[in-house]
Amino acid sequence: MTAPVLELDDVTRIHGSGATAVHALRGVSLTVAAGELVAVMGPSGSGKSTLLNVAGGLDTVSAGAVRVEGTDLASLSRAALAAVRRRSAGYVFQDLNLIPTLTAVENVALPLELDGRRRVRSYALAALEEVGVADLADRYPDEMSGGQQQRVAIARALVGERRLVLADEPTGALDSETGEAVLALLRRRVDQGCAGVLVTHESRHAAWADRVVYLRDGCIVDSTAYDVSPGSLETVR
Amino acid sequence: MTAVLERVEPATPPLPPRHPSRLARWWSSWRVAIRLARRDAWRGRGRALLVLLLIALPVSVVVAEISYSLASSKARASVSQALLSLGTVADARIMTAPASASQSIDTTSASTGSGPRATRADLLAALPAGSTVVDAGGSAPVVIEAGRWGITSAVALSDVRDPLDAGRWRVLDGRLPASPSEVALRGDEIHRLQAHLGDTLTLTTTSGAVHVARLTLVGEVEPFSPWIAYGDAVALPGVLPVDPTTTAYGPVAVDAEQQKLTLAPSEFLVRTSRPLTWADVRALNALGAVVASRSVLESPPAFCPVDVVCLDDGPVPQPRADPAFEDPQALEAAAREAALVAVVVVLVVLQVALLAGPAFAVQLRRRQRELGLVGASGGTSADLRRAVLASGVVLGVAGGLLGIAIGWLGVLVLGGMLPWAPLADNGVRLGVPPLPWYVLGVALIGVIAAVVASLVPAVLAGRGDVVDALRGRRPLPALRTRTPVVGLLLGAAGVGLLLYGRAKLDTVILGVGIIVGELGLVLIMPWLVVQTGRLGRWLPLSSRMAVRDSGRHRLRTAAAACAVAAAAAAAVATSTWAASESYVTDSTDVPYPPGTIAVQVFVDGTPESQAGAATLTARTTGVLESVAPGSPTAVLVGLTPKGASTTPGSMNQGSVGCVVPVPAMLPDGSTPQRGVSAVAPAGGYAGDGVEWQGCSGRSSADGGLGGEVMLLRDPASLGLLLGPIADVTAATSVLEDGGAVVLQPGSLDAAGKVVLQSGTIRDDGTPVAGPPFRVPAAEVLAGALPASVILGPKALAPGGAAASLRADDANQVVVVVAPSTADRPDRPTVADQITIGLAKARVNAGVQAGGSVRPDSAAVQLAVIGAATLLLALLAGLMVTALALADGRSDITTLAAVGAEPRVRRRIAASSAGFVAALGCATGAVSGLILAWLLNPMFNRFGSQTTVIHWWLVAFVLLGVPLVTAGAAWLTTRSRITLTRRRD
Repeated sequence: MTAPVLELDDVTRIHGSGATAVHALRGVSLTVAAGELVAVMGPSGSGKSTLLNVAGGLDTVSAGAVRVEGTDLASLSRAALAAVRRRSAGYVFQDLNLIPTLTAVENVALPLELDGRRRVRSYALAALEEVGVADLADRYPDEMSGGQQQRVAIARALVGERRLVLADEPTGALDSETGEAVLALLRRRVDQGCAGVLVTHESRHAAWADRVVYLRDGCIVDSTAYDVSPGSLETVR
Repeated sequence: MTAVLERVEPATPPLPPRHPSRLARWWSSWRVAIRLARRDAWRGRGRALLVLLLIALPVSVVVAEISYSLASSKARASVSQALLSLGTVADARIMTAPASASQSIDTTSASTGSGPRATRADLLAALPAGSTVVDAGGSAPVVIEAGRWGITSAVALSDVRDPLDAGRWRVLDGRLPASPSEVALRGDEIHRLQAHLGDTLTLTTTSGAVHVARLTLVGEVEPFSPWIAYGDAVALPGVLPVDPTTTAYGPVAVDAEQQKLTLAPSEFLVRTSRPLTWADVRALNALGAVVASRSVLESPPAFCPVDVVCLDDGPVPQPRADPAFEDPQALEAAAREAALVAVVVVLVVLQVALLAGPAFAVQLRRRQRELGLVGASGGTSADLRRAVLASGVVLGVAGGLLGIAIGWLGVLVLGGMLPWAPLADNGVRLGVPPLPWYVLGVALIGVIAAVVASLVPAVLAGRGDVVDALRGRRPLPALRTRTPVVGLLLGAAGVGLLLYGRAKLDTVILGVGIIVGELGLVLIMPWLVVQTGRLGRWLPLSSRMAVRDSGRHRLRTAAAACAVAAAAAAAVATSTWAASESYVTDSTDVPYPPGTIAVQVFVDGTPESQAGAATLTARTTGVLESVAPGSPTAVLVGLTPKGASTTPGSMNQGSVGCVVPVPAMLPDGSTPQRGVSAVAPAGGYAGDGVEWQGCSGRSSADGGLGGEVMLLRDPASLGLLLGPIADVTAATSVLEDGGAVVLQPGSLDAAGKVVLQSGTIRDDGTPVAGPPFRVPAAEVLAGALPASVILGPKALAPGGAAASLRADDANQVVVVVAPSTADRPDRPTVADQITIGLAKARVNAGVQAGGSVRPDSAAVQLAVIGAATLLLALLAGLMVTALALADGRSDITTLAAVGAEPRVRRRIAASSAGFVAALGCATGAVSGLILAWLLNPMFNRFGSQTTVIHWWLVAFVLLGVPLVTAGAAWLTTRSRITLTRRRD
């Protein structure tokens, strides 16, 4: 394992205050190194999505620290957090990942363009090539299948210098075969040196991960390496 | 694993470099934003079209105005008119002027000198050999009679046997006269005479010596164009003598040096053996002739703009304007005009932005996930703001360009392409209207409006939470408690500016006041939306939901309500202004009593008038007696001060008027306008240190006869003038006792007397005011009189209160008759018979039937105002409804799930549209009443302080507009409920 790309250090996230306060995360610590794919599992409302949001700087923590490639996100302004998302961390959501008014290649190039880079098209084409959908470069999202869209989304999440992919149920809207292919792609990109966090409901998807983290009521209740089976999930519950 | 991809080594091309400059990076971000906005607009074409039209509409109106004014001045009507003035045959029209001349090609500009005019022989000598020249001929005022029927008309006397002259006319039926016993008439004249081709008509001259001609009607004609033939009938020359004083047929030459009318023809039509060139025109200019040449008009020389005075080879050099010599007043006026234009532009931008704002708000909702993804991909708040602002830019640019296209095409189609070409300039089709580059500046107004409209959504997008956006959650913006307070302060500042602007009579300050006030309203409105939304608890379910929902989405509701309010305020204010003005005109333009006919005899400089007032009055009563024997008449005669000139039409006839003290303050607390009496001599009236102003009367439609005090020869005939409505007995006895009758309330002093004052003008032109004198008077508050004060004969008698006045050489006489005979379908009306009789008796007079109700001029204005308000309210209401339905879709689905009828959706739509319209109309009506109260006295063209509120329109704005808007929303909403898409 190399230096950690993502570090969550005793992170607490409380939504609201007083009687309506919701503890989404309570003292969660997690480290993801380059080349490592961590699956986060847990029932609805356990804080999986909040974990992803704070990891990419979309959400701020109430206590604790989040470091992406060594940078403490707590100390950053909103604009600097946006820069982290442009340069360090990318998201893949369950569906509707792509901006419908941009073509596949434009979607991939978006973070680079937002970053003020020049001649981004050829670079984005290369990124599409890597995920095997270069031939769809000029198609709009609604002209692509769900699996193709997720591939483009993965390409976008990791385009440029970004080495952290935060995937929130990326296969949730796909049939199982396509879903597996997408996870295989994710796995491969991680193997090429990225760090990945995969939120999923399905334990067979978690099998693609190097490590599985179980969340319940905002706490990590278990952390399992490599071997995940439905049986082990039952023990968690 | 079902699909294991073969492992490929990562290809790592070098990361593209960043733009070196900040500006380039900023522009790169804008490019992304504009691409997103452009494609989003294209995806939602239907929605975008609405905003586009909103923006395009005002732009198109301005562009059309610019294009039309350029086109109409370019088609120049002038060139086409000049061509039309040649008729069908002539190669040129020549107008002779004293000495040498220079001219523009279209003859609209010409400079002439002084000296003898060119004669026909001079022209023939200068024109190419073999040319023909005919003069414009003359005309004669006549009465044309056919059996019982008759009309007053003018007959053109020209030799239409010559094709050159015949080219002036178009023959619709029959033919042009070919012999001295024939005449041709215009169609409506033939109709009025109930005549047919072949009938014999009697033409009697009404000027100069009496000549009668019996002519056969041989044709129905109309002038080839208004610029070539004058008169309603045409006969050959010599049939009747040409009237030397009427200018009915071409201009009568006025000799510049001798200031006298000459009979030498000054206008000629020419047929030439070869086309006249510009060189020929210049040669004729040397003779003092101004020439409209067909060939030059059709292909003007390149060196000369058609409307600029040109010499042999180019325009007359103009002295260059020296900025140092610019008139500072003109500069200031230009600056003020620019400021006013700016104020109007700001108001238009504000209104468009308020109307389009909700559309941008809904767009923000629709693009929420897209913006969330941009945020997740590393877009900053600025990037998100830009993405929304770019929508404004894209729609603004497209709307602006669309507006240019609509405006220009509108002028193209309406000005020339449609067969009837409603915008044609005096019948001249416009052709392709010019489109100057500066219309892009007008389009910029559209861009600004759209960007302003997208401003608030953009700020909200920048502030929004990316996670919320991705989840589809819509947190409500918090109501800032300070905002309505700032709004109130702005509103107060607006009213203050209006008061200040009114005091300074400064329209720019007023405009700024309106803008500031409207901005105040914009800030107060969200608070108002929330407060009125609380009333929702007493409403039925769907209305309650709609009103509460409006409160939750108060920004879009407030924007739409403000747009409605602006329209409603404008409607109420302008309707009040229109009603207040028509109140003045209605109260001053009281018609003569029904069943009477008033004859106003003009005693002026015309030869007929030289007979004098007494003779003309006798002739008039004679005509009345012959048309309607035994009819009661009332004769009113104008009065002049003794000592004034007795020559009819003389400048120094003197005048006499009634004056009232200027009140220091009006009942409403304002200071009155310093009205100046029509008879006020310079220096004002004398009067005990009190300011005086002329009093006004209630006169007939052609009131303001030039004198305000008249003599009623027989006081007993007062009842005829006032009609049955007034209590005339007391007034009559006052007249009989040597007193006066006045019509303006408050004209009498404490002693019940009216103050009269006469004025004369000395030979050197100095006006001299006579001493005021007082006449006991009675006020008559109903009925019409052609003057503000009526005196009886006894007042003028020696020792009478107005003995300093005389009626012998009155400059005006009004005879009102209640004819004993009624109109019959088989002969002209009594009024027409009187008109014909007076023309034949050589009395220059106007005849007016009493009791004719004038059309309510304000009614059309009010209808347009009401319709425009309704349209804007509908637009705003429906837009907000669409938003409410889109936003509240899940609520409606929930309602359906618990068993609500599909109709509920329609009810919610109707309630939400109605709520916006009602709120906007209510605040708008209040603002409009405030505006009217503040501004009406200033803008009333009659200086009246009376503000008349058109309550029907206010009621329509308050009740009708919201109801119609709600109804329209109900009708246009589908009751089908669309199920929301399931999200994880």
